[in-house]
Amino acid sequence: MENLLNPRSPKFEKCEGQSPLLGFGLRRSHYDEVLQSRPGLPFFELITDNYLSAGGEDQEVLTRVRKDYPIFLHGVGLSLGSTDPLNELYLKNVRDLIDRCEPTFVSDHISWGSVGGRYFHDLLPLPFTMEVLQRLLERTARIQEILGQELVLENVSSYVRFKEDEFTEWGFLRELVQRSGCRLLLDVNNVFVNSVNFSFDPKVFLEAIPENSVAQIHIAGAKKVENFYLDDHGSAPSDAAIALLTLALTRFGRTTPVILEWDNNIPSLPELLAERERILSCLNA
Amino acid sequence: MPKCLELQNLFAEYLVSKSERIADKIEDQYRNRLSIYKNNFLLNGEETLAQIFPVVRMLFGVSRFFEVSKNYVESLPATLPNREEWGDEFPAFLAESLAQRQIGYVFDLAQLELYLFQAVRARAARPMKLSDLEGASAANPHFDLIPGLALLKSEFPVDELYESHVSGRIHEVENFEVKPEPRRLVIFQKDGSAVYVAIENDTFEFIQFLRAHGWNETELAKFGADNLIRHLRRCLDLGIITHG
Repeated sequence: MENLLNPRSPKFEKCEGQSPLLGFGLRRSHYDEVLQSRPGLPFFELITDNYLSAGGEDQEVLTRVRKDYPIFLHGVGLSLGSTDPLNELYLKNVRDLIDRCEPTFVSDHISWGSVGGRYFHDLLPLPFTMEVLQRLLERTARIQEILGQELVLENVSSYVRFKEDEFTEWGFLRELVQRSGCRLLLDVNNVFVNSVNFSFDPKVFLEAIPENSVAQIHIAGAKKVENFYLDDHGSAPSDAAIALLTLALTRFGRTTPVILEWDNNIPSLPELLAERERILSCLNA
Repeated sequence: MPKCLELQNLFAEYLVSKSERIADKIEDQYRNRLSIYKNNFLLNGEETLAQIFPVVRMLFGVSRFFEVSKNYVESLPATLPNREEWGDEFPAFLAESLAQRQIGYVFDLAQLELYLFQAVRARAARPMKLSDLEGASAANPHFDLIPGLALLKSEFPVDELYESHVSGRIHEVENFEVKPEPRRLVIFQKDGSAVYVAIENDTFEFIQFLRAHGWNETELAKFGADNLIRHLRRCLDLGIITHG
């Protein structure tokens, strides 16, 4: 497949002193409007797995969007923490996609989603143990070798903790980034959700992450259910999540790119753009 | 066995069955939240199937479709990382389930929906030059097989059924009678969308031959150049093949 870039295709650039760089994930329901109105955004994040086939509507849209915007690829199918062997065919397809659209970042989750050849299409929780840490280090090294690009790692929301945990979540992430050299896609909503679900101070989490180790930040909405939060990406980010985002930008750099995720009850494009403005005004206040 | 492998196997067992052995590995105060993962697994599966089979879902009704989906999700978890590449066996699963045997055309309808879904995400077209074939060289023809091409033979007017449900013309399906009426459909991708065309038997068999022989020029030579070009022109007219 040919490379989608032309001399006009923009590259993502950060400039010191500018406002926070807030974009959002491109969803299929917004394809037509985005292509027609070309909203003024610094980038789009695309779900890697939706663009691995080489034909069809998704590819047409990718080709057209890439002409005008930098692209961040965000995967859900890597199953990074699985005990299964790496899926080399999947990685080859991701590599092909990278070669076609030259994304600024390629990310996936610190979780698992398959075992014994069965895929569950979910971001399942990992125990925070040395055994798992070692596996993640080996697999991220191999994945980066295959992809020929840095893999940015995202912290996930979760609902259970394992008896065999040997680290706190933030202690585990700190070890992972320090030993692997990988940077984080820090999801502040997931930090917020986990801080409620497991009763910890989210500021302690942020302070444990090395300052130079965050490449991107995610923010999203979550749903309160009894005494915990469900990370459903189905509403606007809460005030608490935006406050955490403000803290994160202060610690990790004001120009760290931020992506607003919205996957359920997806609003119209104008509503999403209005929500983006609201978050920006909170950050600039 | 590494601890994590054991834990992942127990977690998987919990997702696809009623086994709760994983609960022993979870801190006590969070055990009741395990069901969130089970629910997500079932709901994600149903959501994916609903995306691929919207007409079958309409036909069954939401709650009945969810029940069938749940059984399918638990019986046949995906074997590929991309959730949109799952569901190939769902039409056969539907046909095999006792309650659905009363509706004979459901398998074909589900198969049509699956092919339409797959066509949109199909890889690029495969080209073929016929210049080496005797009798065809003068025109130096070059053809592209449309991406995502699939064939469906049905004893029912499955295309009309699909159209009826998509357009919302049929609301009461419980007593809906379908008279057998053989159909041969070609499903493919055009301009980034999935389309289908009803065709005659000889064209169906020609395309079946193309697929069976992997769009192979040597095999196609057996048709004889004149016969081959005649068939290809018919496919060109129907939009199944493009002329480059």
